[in-house]
Amino acid sequence: MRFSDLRVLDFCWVGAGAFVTRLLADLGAEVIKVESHAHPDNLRLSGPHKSGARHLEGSGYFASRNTNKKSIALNMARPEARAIARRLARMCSVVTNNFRPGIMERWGLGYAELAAADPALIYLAMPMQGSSGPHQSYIGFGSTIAAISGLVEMSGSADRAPIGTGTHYPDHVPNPGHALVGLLAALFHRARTGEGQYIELAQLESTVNLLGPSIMRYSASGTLPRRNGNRRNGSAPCGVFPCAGDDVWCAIEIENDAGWRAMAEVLGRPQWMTDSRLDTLAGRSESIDAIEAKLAQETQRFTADELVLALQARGVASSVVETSREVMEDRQLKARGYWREIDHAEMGRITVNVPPFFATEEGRKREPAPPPLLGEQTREIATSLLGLSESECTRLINEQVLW
Amino acid sequence: MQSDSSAATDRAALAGIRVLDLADNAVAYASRLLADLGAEVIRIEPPHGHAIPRAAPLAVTEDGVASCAHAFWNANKKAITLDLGCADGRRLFGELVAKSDVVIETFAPGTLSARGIGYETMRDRNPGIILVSVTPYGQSGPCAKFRATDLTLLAAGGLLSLGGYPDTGPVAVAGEQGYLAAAIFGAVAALKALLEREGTNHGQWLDVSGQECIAFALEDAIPEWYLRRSIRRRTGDQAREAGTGVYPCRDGYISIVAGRLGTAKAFKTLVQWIAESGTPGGGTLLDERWQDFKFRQSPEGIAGFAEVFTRFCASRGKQELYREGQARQIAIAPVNSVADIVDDPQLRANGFFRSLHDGALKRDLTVPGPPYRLARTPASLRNAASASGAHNRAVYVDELGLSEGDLCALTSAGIV
Repeated sequence: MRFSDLRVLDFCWVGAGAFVTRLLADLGAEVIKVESHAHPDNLRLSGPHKSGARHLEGSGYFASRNTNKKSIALNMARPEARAIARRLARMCSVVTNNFRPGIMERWGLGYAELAAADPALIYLAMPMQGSSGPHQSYIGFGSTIAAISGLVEMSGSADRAPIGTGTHYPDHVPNPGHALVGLLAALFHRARTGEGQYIELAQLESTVNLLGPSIMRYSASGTLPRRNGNRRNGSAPCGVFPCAGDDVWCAIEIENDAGWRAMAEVLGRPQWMTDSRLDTLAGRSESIDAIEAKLAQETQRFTADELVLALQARGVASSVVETSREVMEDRQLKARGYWREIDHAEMGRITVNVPPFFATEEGRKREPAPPPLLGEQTREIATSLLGLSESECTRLINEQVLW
Repeated sequence: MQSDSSAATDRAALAGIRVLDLADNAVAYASRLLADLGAEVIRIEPPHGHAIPRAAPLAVTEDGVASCAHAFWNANKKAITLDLGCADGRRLFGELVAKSDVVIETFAPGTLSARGIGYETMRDRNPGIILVSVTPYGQSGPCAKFRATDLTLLAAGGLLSLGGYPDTGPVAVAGEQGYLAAAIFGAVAALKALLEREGTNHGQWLDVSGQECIAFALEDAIPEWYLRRSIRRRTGDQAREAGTGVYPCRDGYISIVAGRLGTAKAFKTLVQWIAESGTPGGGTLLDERWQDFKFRQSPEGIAGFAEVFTRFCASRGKQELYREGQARQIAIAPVNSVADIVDDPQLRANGFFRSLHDGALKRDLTVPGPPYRLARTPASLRNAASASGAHNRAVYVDELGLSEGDLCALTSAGIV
């Protein structure tokens, strides 16, 4: 199967869903994003916006999640638009959405209806908590899903409030990632058998799956995870340490006794580090608070970059705690062509990333296409795919159906 | 709660696909996802043991000790032992590659080639083989050989800078999310190559970078920098605006999003609810200025709201606030503990949790179900994680056709 043979009708919007179909588009699929001036994707409205660009076309956040897609403007409040959507669905072999349960059905775009016409259809729904059960209509965001799942409670310092990732994390990796796994598996099954199917990814279930080990332990022994800052079992010291500059940090994890000795060398063998009681993990663990406090004094003498280079030269796991700026300027990511500068009709130069994997044989040759303007391909899709005449198309635009 | 029957693999999406799993740490989750979907996953561990079966979190009971990391990441897999450091081991590995579809590995870049079993060698044996290499920084670039752990990877990918308390340093998310991000995309990469192989016999070598996977999770921080030259930093336990964030309540904490785009109505409903409750100061939230988005993002707005809302929540439990808030169309959620989540009425009603018997602990353990429901080819949880080498005979004798005597000799030579 070639991804370029795949046409996707995409009702996903905002966070988690938009990343699923962006990855499909990145892999070569033709993804038709259905959106509307009557009810724009929230990401078009949320910032940061490029100053000077029209508001709906200037969001950098929207851009990051919608590269390589096409956009058709369809005002789904109008029956004519829904009829067009149903016709489009018959021309696509994958239909996706992350609405609340019931919305697609209300539009006549539910799985049962569409699959009756095309049994090979693959249909991905990504409701918050599933399409059945007492909480099926509950609303949420990545941050609230993370809270319900247990991930927030586990993360943070023992003596402080729980904090999670500080983001809507489930929207960014676990839920789009899992949805892609399910979707690609269904595509594989279809490639071998011709059979389509309905896939449901409840965003809560998908996030809870990541807590498998802690859930199994709780069921075995009643033990609950403790918030433990940056500490990790079997490593000491392990955490973030301040470096020269304002709010600059370095993450260091000492995985074994050799790592401890190597770090002492890098830091110029300060007196306190030569204490033989600290030569073993057990010894270091015993006075871990004091050690990490002293270490924080030592690391401030170095810039984060020079410290990491010296530690890495001796095989010690470490990294600058990179801010957004440093991630964008990161020499490794640059060397691998992860960030791409592309031209956007309204925003000018924008920076987007490419998928975090590639076939070594092909490399990263494919240049991403910018995210579509709202309805950018409306006319193209309406005429070439749906076979509407130019004048019919103009009428539907003027009547705010293709809108 | 039950495990799924082994008949489930017959109608699985990946039936007939064989995967060799050489992954370390939580990256073993990549092939676990494929195993759930019906692939036959053979985990290859060195004869002298592997770190995962001793990895945290450990369950300690009167019957024994077991790694729940191992139990979870390696469920549904077969397990064999093999020493890839010697010629006989590499020859056997080549025979396995010849009969497999996917290999997932996490060695430092260059390790497999140095041992004479790199991608080219695998491809010579089996042109359709798909090699998925999941490493912290990818196969190429100046930092490719840097040593990393989950913590340092979260730092390198930028996510660590967004978590933590403003007054102390960054704090990483728990549960090895860095490795898991890489594992999930590793599974995506394997499936992408399987799909593209259909109808051909052309495999691929996929290069998956953990750092790049984590950099997918930076939300609006990247455009904040390149469009506004503003660096987003950790806000931790401090709300970013009135009505959105984590707030304490009677028995813990709740998480709420009310007021941001698309939830403006919810903020109105929320302040009405607080005002009507008779909470001291609640009436002040009805002032016109609280409808101003800018004010709600000001330090005064954030602090003023937190003061009243914390008072409101102090007499209410997190599950009660969840129910009552959701009944009003407000996105409130409890900050659940693991104990809360296994009791969650929604997950229970939908039969999400499964059960697997753990031999070492002599009891059934609760396991989250698969992250998705494929109606025609459901993912399934069939078998508990296997002990090291549990399938040596099944694989070497029954599958590769070695004699019992060969297997004995390999075992005593320490190769198997």
